[in-house]
Amino acid sequence: MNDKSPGYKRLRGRGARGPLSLGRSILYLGTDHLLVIDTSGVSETYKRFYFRDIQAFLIRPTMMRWLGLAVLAFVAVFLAALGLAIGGYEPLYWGTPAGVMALFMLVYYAKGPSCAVYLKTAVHTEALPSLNRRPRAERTLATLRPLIEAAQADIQPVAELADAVVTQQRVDDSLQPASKSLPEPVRHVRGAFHAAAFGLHGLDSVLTIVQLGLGENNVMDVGGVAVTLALVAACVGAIVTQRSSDIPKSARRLVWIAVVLVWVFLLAAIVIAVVAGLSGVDASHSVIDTVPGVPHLMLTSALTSALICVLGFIAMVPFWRRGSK
Amino acid sequence: MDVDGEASCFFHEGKKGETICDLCGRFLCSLCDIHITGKHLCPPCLEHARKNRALDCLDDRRVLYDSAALALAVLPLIFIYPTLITAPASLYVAIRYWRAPLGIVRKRRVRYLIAVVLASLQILAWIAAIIYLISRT
Repeated sequence: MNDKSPGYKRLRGRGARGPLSLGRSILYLGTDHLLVIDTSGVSETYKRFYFRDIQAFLIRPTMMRWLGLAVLAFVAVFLAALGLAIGGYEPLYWGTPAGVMALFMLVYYAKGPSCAVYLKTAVHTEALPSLNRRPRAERTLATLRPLIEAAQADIQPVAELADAVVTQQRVDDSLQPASKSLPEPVRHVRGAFHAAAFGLHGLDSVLTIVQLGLGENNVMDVGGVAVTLALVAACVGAIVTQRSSDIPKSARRLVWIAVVLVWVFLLAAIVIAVVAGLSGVDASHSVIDTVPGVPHLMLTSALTSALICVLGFIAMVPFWRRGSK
Repeated sequence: MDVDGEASCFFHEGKKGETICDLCGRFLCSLCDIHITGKHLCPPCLEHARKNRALDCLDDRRVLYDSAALALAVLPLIFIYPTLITAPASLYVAIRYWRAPLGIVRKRRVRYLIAVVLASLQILAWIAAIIYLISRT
């Protein structure tokens, strides 16, 4: 009695169920239902949502677009800075991947604002990770709406409800109304990423001051790069986890300030490297000694990092004490 | 068995039979009647169909043996030496599970074919290499 499997039409987009998930989720349109296929390794799981059962689609704006852009931009700037700092033919060598990254950024940006879409039935709410961009979600919902309306035509009250909710959740011009209509529950987080971010700022400050005192050497350079990379990763983690969490506002703002400052100092370092390269500074000598302005920049960076570290822990310590009680 | 001269449900003697199971022909009351993809089924037939994967609409998980065979044929190529084991393994998976159901939206056995071709080539390459080494010594 093997029934004929229905023909499915793939809907555009794919997404993962979590930031570290290797699997992917894809939507397919069936004759009377929506099929969600989650592929993980060599197995697939299927979830079917019949048009008669769908009550609403909920759309919530997310920050994934900006986070993704920030990570890509960081890698691009890092590669470009590395090329500029090394000099010779290397800028071309590192500039090419930086250019590719910039192209990725452009494509990533052009896909539109990121969002999370949830499908609501009478008994549960299911996330649809493949609809992670607003324009794509709009198009998909526009495709689904007449099908759902047709399937629910004979059940008037539910049809009206679906219509009302879908209309309410329709993609608006601005993101603000959607975020207002769906207040997220506040989550409790431990603030490990924040601790790491503020702690690494402190470490960065110490390293910079030591570097100023001792002068440049390879060990300190490698250590500095490793700390900066870890700092960026911690800040990204903090930004992701602090959303809808009970982390104090002051700590959240500090994380954003920290991210901006990392960028400012990185850009300043690139400008200095370019100026030094153009003015023909001998690369065999220490940049701290030969390029004017570098010691001041490093000192400012160290003091700012120390300040962020201290303020961050001042903001977080009462929060951790409350959490441990 | 009947209720007031009418057929009763096979599973509930006191309830009137309203339809018959399309698979086993038992009388079913409205409680036992499961209407799925245009068929009326009784709970045991539904369970049987689910276990035997006879109804696609009840399938909630499938192992993609074609992807497994292809992965076994392609990924170890990076390190070359594991292909001595993975190529026959890929060939075994492809042949053993050739008739196994594919993914629910996948209709062609292209991955199996690619896996068989790649694995066969790897095995032939190993045979050639072994013959060459033996002939040299």
